[in-house]
Amino acid sequence: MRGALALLVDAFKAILEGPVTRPYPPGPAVEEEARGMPVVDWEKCVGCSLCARSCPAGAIEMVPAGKMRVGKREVPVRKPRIDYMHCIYCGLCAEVCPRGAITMAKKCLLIAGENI
Amino acid sequence: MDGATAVFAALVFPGLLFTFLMGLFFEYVERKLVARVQRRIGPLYAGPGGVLQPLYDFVKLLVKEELPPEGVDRLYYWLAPLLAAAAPAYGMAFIPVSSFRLSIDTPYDYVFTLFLFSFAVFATAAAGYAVYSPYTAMGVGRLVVQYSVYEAIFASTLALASLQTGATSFRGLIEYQALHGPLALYQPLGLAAAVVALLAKLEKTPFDLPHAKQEIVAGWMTEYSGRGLAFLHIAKDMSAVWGSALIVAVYLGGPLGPLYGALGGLVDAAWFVAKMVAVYAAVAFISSLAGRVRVRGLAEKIWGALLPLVFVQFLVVVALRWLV
Amino acid sequence: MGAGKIERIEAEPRELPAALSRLRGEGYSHLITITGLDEGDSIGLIYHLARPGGGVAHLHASVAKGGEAPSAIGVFRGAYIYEMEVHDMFGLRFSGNPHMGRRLLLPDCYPEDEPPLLKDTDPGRVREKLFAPGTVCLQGPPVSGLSRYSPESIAVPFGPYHPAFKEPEHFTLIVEGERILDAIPRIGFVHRGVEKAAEQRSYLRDIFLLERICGICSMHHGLTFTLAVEKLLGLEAPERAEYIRTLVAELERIHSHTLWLGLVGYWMGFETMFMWVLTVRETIMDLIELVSGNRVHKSIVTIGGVRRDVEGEKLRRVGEKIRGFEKEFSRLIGDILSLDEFIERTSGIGSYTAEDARALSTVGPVRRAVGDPYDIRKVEPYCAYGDLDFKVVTGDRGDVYSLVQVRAGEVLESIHMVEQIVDHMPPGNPVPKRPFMGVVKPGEAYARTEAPRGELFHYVRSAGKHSPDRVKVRTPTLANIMLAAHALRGQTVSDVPLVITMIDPCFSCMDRVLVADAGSGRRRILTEADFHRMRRRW
Ligand code: SF4
Ligand code: SF4
Repeated sequence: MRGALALLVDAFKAILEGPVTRPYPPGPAVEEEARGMPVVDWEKCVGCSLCARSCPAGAIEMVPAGKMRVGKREVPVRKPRIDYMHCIYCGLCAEVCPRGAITMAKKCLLIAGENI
Repeated sequence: MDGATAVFAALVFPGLLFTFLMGLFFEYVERKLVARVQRRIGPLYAGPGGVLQPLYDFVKLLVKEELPPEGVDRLYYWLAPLLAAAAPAYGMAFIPVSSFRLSIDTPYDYVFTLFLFSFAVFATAAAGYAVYSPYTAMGVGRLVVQYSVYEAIFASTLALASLQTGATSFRGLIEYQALHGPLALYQPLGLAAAVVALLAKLEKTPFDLPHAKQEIVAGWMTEYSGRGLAFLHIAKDMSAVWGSALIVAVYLGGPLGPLYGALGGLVDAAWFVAKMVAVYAAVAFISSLAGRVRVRGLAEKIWGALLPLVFVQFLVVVALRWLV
Repeated sequence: MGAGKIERIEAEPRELPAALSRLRGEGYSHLITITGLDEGDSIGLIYHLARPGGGVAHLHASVAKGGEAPSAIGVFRGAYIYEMEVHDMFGLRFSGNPHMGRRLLLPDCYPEDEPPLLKDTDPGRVREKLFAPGTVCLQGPPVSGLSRYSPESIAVPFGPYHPAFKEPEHFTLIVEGERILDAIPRIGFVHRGVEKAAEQRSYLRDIFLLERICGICSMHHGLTFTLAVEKLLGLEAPERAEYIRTLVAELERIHSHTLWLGLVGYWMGFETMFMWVLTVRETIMDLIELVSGNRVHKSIVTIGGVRRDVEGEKLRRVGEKIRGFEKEFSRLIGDILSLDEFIERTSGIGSYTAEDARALSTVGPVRRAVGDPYDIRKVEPYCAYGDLDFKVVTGDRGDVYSLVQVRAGEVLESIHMVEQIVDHMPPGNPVPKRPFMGVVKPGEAYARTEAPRGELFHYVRSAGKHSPDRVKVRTPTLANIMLAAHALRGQTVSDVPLVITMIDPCFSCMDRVLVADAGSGRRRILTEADFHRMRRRW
């Protein structure tokens, strides 16, 4: 009986306190502490492809990105492009990059609707 | 009561159309209420406050592809959902939602209700038997067991009302209550038993065994999809309307209330609907706070708890008759 | 402790049962698992045995390829499921095991002659055979001749897709009315080839891969693997890193157990309870995000430390929120556990005995609910568990109700552990300077931890390369699943969801191994025309 009464009290409290779920479209989709999503800055990248080799999901593809001067010669370089549908948002690429060319931006991709 | 009014009563008010619309509204009330108890938002986007969501769902199911499994009994498979929806609509036609001019008014309509009740169950049982898959077989089995258990309670509570008022028609019941006040004052135990039996009839937790999804998927309606499923769903909502309407008419004085008869019966209808919604909200609230009973505990739970109630109520009613 | 290099005890294949019963006599009464190894001409078998009070022995034997080894079911009743696994993966037969004829993990149409974990099995060839015209990959119920039960009985398929399951799994229930005569499990619907795939990735990438074995106890997989690799490297993580690992591990246990407690409500049709418990649990999810940056796959462990520090302000918030959680959780669980309906639906349901639990080598809360205080955190403390003050929660009856009590009790213990960690976090830098990307010296090591569902075991073997030579994972659910099937017998259909799930099964964890199509990355994409073709069969 005690249990049943407590349950009733809980139920009325739940109705009074209001829902905890939030309607869509949501407010800020990214929490302060979330890891975020990797964003590459091609300007800083030197094309070492360390990120592509260590990416656990194989989400980084090195694509041709013009030429670069090494000493006197012009050599073709490849730079990373991230496939966000494969990415597991682990942040390893940002950790291994020797040039800090990848940063974890505090935003996220929504499956549907506007990005925030 | 001429033929035209009877047809109007059966098809529009308080029969099919009214029941259908009320059914959708009931579903909305239930979904919203249960959502709030569970700290969710519930329907929100379709219509103001999401009130059109049940209608959208119904229409969506209507246009979905149907996949009748191989080896179904076609006739029953198609007929059963329609019969299931027809029973509560027809049953509602007898209920004096507003004035007696608008409902089918016969001297034995109250007794006839009992027949319609069992008819509705056999329509759903037919739906299950049209297909023979393990889940439907178990679902129908449970349905029949559950029916035999709650029907006894429901029938005896209705009989108790008859016993006190001496009426066999809704007119008699309402007239009695107009004189002596709502029956709930004399038969609170009967009302409680009837509400629990209603829970079982509507297959709501804790008595949702026939379609317990964690156990037997969707029970007797597992193999339905598209139109058939839409009709089964609406049939359930309409039974909810019918069941609450019965309780309102029998125990809560039906359309009676302050300003009874004003505005050409509109006030009566408003009273009736408000009472109905209150009854159903109570049912949904109880249901949201319960877990499912086990099949083995079903008869024990319903009979063990309710038969004594009904019996005590019976003694009270006899005493009242003797006194008055 | 909790992890170590492997010292093998050698045995001849035909002496295996004798050697096993000798070890058993020495106190090694718990069979953790059997690891298969491709050793070139022969297949190596390592039987990992544990003492209930701590200590692991590894018995090794080599069997010629295509040969037979004697079954160990006479010594350990639960061994047959591990033997079936080795049979599936390496094509080795065990004489005396009655289940050699059927598959455990692989689909029934998988080619007989291509055991997936042999080094020379070529994914391309397997793919060809699998997609050859005429191959039918339907898994029928593994039951024939229902008449041996009774004429009135019917076989009710439970799964693979069923509203009570979060993951695909199949049980064939033989029922007579509402009573269950027999239950036959069939697992393996979600193989993802994790063990094979782990052999083709670097150690660093493996951590992330192995985390994805399970979405609920993900961190424990990464942690256990890392502990084993650290043993191979002779590396010790800084003390602060060990504390942070423990912190996340305990948060994970809380969120896993609360999820299960909520689901108990769902399984008995009490959905409001489910919603309420999940509302409370949200605090823990927020904490996990606060600490690790992710809600589900924490990805916080790395070889030699952790990937993120938890400093002052964050730590303070963890302590604050966990206390709030404790209040709400105790109130809610107290209310629910005192409900008559709840007690009626769980007490005495799915009961099993301590003998069953031991003979089937069960682990975790399932084992503790019958009074065995078998908890790796206590018997072989790893990470910071040696410094923390906590007690092992045990039950006394072995039914759904005692499991609810044990798990609720463990949540409270975990909360206290988190509070202790917040108060006594040692100083230092827990994050290694660079992620580990080197080679690992040849050798083999194991690690075991107490995941939320029970003892989790990882075996890692290195051949001195960038990627491991063999990774073997034994998840707690695999050890417990036979108990669920056992406990189902004699119950009613109303109780099936609760009984199957009382072990808190994580089916995806248990099904891990299948040929990964490494390299080619080709996917089969279904076109609209394919769908139409499939539909026409209706
Ligand atoms: S690791 Fe950094 S520098 Fe190297 S390719 Fe990737 S983004 Fe460019
Ligand atoms: S965040 Fe992780 S998965 Fe995504 S691109 Fe970077 S390394 Fe790859």
